[in-house]
Amino acid sequence: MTDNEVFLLFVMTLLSQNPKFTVMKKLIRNAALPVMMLMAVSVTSSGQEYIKLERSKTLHLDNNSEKTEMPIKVTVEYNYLRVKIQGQIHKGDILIELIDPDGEVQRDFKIEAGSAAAEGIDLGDKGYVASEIEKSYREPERGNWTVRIRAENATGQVRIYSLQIYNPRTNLIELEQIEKDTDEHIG
Amino acid sequence: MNKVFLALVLFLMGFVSTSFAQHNITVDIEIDTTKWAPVAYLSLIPDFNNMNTISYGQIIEQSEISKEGLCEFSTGYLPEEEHLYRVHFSKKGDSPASLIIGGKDHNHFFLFAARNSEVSVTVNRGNGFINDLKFEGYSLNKALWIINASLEALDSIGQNGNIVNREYAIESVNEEIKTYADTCSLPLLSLYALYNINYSEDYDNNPAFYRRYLHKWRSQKSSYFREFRSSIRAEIKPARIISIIGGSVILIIIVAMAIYYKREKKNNKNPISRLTIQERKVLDLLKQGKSNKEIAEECSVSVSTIKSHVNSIYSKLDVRSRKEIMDIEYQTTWNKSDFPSSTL
Repeated sequence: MTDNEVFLLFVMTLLSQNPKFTVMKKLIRNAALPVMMLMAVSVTSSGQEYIKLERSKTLHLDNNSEKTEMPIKVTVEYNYLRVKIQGQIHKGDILIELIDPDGEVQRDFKIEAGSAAAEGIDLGDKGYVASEIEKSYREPERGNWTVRIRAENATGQVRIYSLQIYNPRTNLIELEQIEKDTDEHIG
Repeated sequence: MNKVFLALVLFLMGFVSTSFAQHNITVDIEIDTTKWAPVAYLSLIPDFNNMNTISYGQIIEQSEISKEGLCEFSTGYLPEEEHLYRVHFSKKGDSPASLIIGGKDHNHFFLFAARNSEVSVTVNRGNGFINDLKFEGYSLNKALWIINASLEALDSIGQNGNIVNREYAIESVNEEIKTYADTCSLPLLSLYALYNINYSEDYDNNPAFYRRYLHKWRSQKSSYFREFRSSIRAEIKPARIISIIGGSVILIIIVAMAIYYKREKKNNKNPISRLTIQERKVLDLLKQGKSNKEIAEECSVSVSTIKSHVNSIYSKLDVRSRKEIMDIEYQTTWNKSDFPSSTL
């Protein structure tokens, strides 16, 4: 398989995630998916390449007090999911939850910067409180995963990174290599 | 005399050295100083819900990590009761209050300690920054390590394995940890295990277990148990209120229906019971064959009043003529003295 074919497949997969491209979605599901699987086998058997879908989004908070939900759609095309959520705030509190398609909270964390100010603690030049969670799943549950952010007078930012990989063989050694490769991407 | 003095001095020296001996949490960790700041932070975690919370307010002490990879926190000033503590490390240039949960840079671990307890932790590096812990000293932490090993297994099942069998595997590990919590003789550790299997979801399936658990540890006054009790009560309360309200509504409906049916039954049996006292008296006189005028005279009321009563009697007994009234058989159930003529 050529690089162009891999790129085309990647673009098609990206488009299939967009609800506006319903025709493309149907095409991917009904016709292109078997082709993609075949192509993926040839890619992974080489041990060099794999099909991946990366997404990154940053939410800026400016004294916000609201609940924000960000979906991560896991479709049948992918059998590996890695999610990393980083929060960094100067003021207020935030609670961040990673919720699976069944509605179960898989990971959560809370950052409280409000209490520092209330207790008269000088945050100095490192004037923020930070936390991050990371979780990866092999054969993740299909459906809509959600990152829920509840902010309370919070100022700062939250960065959400998700990576989905298609690797039909679920070969542990290959996946470990993929994880290592993507470590640099997600920072 | 000198011997007595010498013995006294030795006793005092022993007492002083015992009383003022330094008790520490000692951490032995190998860190990459190009990536991590050579400082460790100790935080007090007041309840198990806050294990993944980070704030400056939680940090109670910091300690420089020596070139040999050692750092110490004094336990002499810690609260007397056992508490959960978190030791974390920050990356170079990052805020001291930064927590990384999961992944290769997972930067913290938990331990139990009390005032003057001696805790020694050796952090072994593997694939990640904090891969494996070895506790010595304070016995509670050795048991903590066992639970954490099960929790790691649980986490690993969540990340790997066959999607079909994953739920079953998670359920069985959860059950194992719950059994440990149930049989553990150390209350704080038992509660720690329970919190880590997400008890609030499990509560719906087995509320009896949690009621029994609360009863078993009813003497525990620590902040951890207080928090647990209030969260369980919050679970119990709505369920109990709903069941009480629901039960009351059903009971009221049953009683109301019983009264209604009883009354209906009685009414159907004796249509005379639908008549008022005055109407019954008029009916009695009608059955004697008296006219409206005679009845009015006997009852000392106007004829129009009697006509009104007669119409009402016709309607209630579903009759159309005096002849039909004569045919009605009924038992007179009142005495004349009960109804003085003035009531009409």
